[in-house]
Amino acid sequence: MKKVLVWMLLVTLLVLSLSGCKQKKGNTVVMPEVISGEGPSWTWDTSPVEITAYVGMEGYGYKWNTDIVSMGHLTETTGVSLKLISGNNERLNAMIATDNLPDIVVLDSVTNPIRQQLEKNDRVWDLDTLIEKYAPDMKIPESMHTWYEYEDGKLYGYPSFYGAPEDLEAYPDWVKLEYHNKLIVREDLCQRLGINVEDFSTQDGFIAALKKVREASLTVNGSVLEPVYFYTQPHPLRIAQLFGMALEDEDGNWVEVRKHEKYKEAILLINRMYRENLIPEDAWTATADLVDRKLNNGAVFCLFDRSTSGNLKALQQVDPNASFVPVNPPASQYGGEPAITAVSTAGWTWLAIPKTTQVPDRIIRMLSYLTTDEGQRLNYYGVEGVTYTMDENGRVKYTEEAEALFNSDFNAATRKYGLNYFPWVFNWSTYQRFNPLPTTVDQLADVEINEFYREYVYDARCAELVDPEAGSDLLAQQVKINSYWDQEEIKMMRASSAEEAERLYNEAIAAIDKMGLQELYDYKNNKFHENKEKFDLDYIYEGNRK
Amino acid sequence: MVLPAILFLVVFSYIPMVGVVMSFVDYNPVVGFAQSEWVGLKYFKELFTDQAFPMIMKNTLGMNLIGLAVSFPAAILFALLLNEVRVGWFKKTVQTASYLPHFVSWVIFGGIIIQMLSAGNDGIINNLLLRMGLIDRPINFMGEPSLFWGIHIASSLIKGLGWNSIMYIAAIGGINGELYEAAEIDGAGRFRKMWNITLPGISATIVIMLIFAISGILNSSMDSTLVLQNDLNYTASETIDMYVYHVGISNYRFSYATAIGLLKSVVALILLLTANYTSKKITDKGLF
Amino acid sequence: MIMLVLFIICVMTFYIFWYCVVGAFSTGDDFANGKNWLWPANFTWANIRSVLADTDIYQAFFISFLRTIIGTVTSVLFTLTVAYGMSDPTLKFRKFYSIFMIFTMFFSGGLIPTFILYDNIGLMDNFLVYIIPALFSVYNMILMRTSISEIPKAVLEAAWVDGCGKYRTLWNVVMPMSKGVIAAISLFNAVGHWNSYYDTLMFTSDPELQTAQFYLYNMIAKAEKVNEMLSQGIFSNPNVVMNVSSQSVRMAAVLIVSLPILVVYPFVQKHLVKGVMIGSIKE
Repeated sequence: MKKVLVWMLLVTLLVLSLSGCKQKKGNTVVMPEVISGEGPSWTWDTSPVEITAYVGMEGYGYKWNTDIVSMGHLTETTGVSLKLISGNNERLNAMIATDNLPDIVVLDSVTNPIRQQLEKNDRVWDLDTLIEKYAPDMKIPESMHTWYEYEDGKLYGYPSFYGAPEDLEAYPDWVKLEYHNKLIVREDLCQRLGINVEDFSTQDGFIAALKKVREASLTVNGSVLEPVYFYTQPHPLRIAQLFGMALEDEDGNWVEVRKHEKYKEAILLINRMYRENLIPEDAWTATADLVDRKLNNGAVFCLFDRSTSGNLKALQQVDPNASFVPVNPPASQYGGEPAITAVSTAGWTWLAIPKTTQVPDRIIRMLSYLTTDEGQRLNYYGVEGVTYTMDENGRVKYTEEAEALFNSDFNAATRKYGLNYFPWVFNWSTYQRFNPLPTTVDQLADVEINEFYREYVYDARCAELVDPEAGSDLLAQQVKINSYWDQEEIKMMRASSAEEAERLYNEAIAAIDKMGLQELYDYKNNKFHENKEKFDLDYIYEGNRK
Repeated sequence: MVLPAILFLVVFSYIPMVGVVMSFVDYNPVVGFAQSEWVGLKYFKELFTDQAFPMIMKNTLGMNLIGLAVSFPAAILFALLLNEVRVGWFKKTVQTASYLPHFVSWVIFGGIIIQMLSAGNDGIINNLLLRMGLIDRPINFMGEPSLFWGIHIASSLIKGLGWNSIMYIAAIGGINGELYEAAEIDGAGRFRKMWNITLPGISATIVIMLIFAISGILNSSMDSTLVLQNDLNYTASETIDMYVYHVGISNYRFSYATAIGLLKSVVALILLLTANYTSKKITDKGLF
Repeated sequence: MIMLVLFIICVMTFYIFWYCVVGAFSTGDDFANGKNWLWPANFTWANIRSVLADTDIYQAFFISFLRTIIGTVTSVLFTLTVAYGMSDPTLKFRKFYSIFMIFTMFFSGGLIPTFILYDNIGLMDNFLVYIIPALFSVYNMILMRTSISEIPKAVLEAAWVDGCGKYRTLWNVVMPMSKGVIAAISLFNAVGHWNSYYDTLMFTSDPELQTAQFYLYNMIAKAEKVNEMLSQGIFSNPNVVMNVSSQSVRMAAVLIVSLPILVVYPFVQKHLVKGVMIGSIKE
């Protein structure tokens, strides 16, 4: 009996100790005193400071080490050393729940609902205030501010991989919209098999050309030449875009692509390719690795959705005559030019500064540095004079030592120089403005391919960020509709006849209508119009303007 | 001797259990449990009315029941066979080799399986079958929904066989050697000894393992499915756990995930109690 | 016949592991092209060197060793004591305790309450977070209890007659007689400790507390993430996003990280197979 009593006492004590005896920390917001000085803001105070940064990407965990070139340089320049923590959203949730937020939080996505919650509940600093007080030299593109500002007109964080339209205007020769969607074929094999590159521009010609490849059944470097691969799997969306399906209709409304006639046409074209045995079985489940391998070995005759980047170099080592050319894609029966969406420029990760931090001034000054041209190059190219120098075009040129190490041991090089350790502040235009100009045959071929479709590319960011709020029921509805559709779409593409594919298509459309597609559409269309209003756009796709 | 464990469990299991409240609210970490909106059984209803529910239920139960029927006896059989081997070095080698795959994580193990079964010209199995003339077109093993259960069960079996049998090997090792000596004097053969001494000797372990295995029938290994799943086999590979992952966790709906987790726990507990009760009735052995 | 069946199983399971070994000693290109099924086409130490060149891994190994040894010993001793206590049929509330314990195997409050708990009792960013929560396992307790209850009553009673106390009996009689199950559970524990990365991921932010398995997990997770983004077509150039190690380097890391724990098995094996009953009864 005595034992039981002691035991109960212990439990009570424990429960008591757990239930909130601990002092809640972080209720006082620290605003360090404002200082100013000569030169850039980050040089005003370079006393050593450790800043804890949570980065919401599993697998991102680096130990701060000033022997590493980029880390050492950041510490030397700003006095900051970072304690980098990685993790997933569950961990972040737990940190928020226990008031254990670090000095910097990097969310895995700009659409993460935690972002909105933090803003709504006044848990993070707005950058406007911090910049004005502590780092007046930090520049934020106006479009970024407009795009991401909260209801109160303030910006509460910083996105990475954002493509600013301002940069497109400022550096028209360098900064361009990137895109993936294209169709390239092996020029050398076309000649060998007597195929005219013009043939690809009709659906019948395209199928006939691929059939020729299938029937020839050439063996290259020990493997059979396959007519077609995709990067990475067959998908009607990309082909529908080549047919000319834009994400916006003539009335300026958002398009539900699955109901678009050209999307259906794309499904039927893939189905036709499938029935004619033109798509290799492993293409349906291909990974980037697999397609790269096939390309390197020369086993791919025609490729959708990517240029040859890097692969042509490997390919020409086994087959010096190999070359890829872009071709006009098969045309839609409904007519129209390709309407290709650019790679998303709407941002990837989201950096926020919790109000619990003791050093908001040092953080914003560090950001100020990292968002300058030099700071941006620090992430991707390292330190000027150590890993690179600037050439006469204003482009990066790696030093001989760095170049040699890159070629001999890529891992060792990135570790020594600490490259790509700050992807959470990196922006697209940096890469485009400073990356060494193409010199080798394969790089030049890529440039040629990329220019071929350039005129059809448009910025679709207003149509991309239209998903329901993350975590909401409507989003769950969308996920369910999408996963049902994907499961049926595969069946359509692999149907035994065109009629069967069409029947499956109609059934699936009816089913997703029943699952509440209209509600979802209304939400997205509404959001789409809101997005366009932010930028005063009446159309995102120029082809719609008449 | 038992009390410290009770205390331990109170602190490390029972106190955190208040977290199940999350199943009934729209949890928002920024404002905390107290201010999150109460939604009652919303998330439970959502699962049952989901049009994908029959599919994920079928996949979960089908794969797990067949998996249990195959791999549970396989581990016992493996331990029994190993026990029959008299050549010491061979026994040790087999045992060590059998447990090696346990240390290769699913990401890598699954990658190897996929590469071997590839329908392209680098797939070793397809190449073999083609050369032997058994097929005339490569089979897309990973893309055929009807083959997925088999592939998943077989690869899990290879990966876990040696590891799962360790407990039985230990139990066999604990059987009184005199029993075998006595049986030998009676002229019992190998098989009779296995049947009359070894199996009864490890039956307590078997029963306990079986009870736990039955209670876990709704749990599927996420690691393996994440690697082996693709768009083509989706209809056969999507299980409850995967669906909750896709619809819940990937979309920041933590309350949904917690609610389904709770539901599964209740089912598991009921299964455990039933299995335990049945076992007590039949074999007089059980957990309590 | 039996040997043939076992041999085939052995070949299959060994091959999977061998494949990793081959990968670890192949050049990245050869491996990606699937040229190595039995032996590296071009043997190289480069991958192994590349992993070992990262000095972070040594500290991680140290932490892994430490947690595995301390964690296994404390957990096995604690769990065994409880199991012995639970095996006593005269124990009051025995059935209640059983249910009380088993209940915890099924219901958990999830990460957030656990996080709050650890934060309050100071386990955050503390080496003990690897040891204390793993101290007791209901599942292992049940397995041990089953094994202990198979010990003939006569033996235990004899110990009592000799004047052994509860703990002396546990130490002198129960432990030697449950060697097999203790060996098996020590193995489970050790491997569990060695392979665990989740607690490092969730409850530590101090890089000094990283384990070897966490190091490996980071490496693989990074590559996975990039692959995912590539197949979704978000980014065209993987090197813009993060540093990715080639598949063969990952294989090398798998090999290096799992080797130390693989070595444990042959030692445990001895105790697994050897029956100890005869000896102890005759004593």
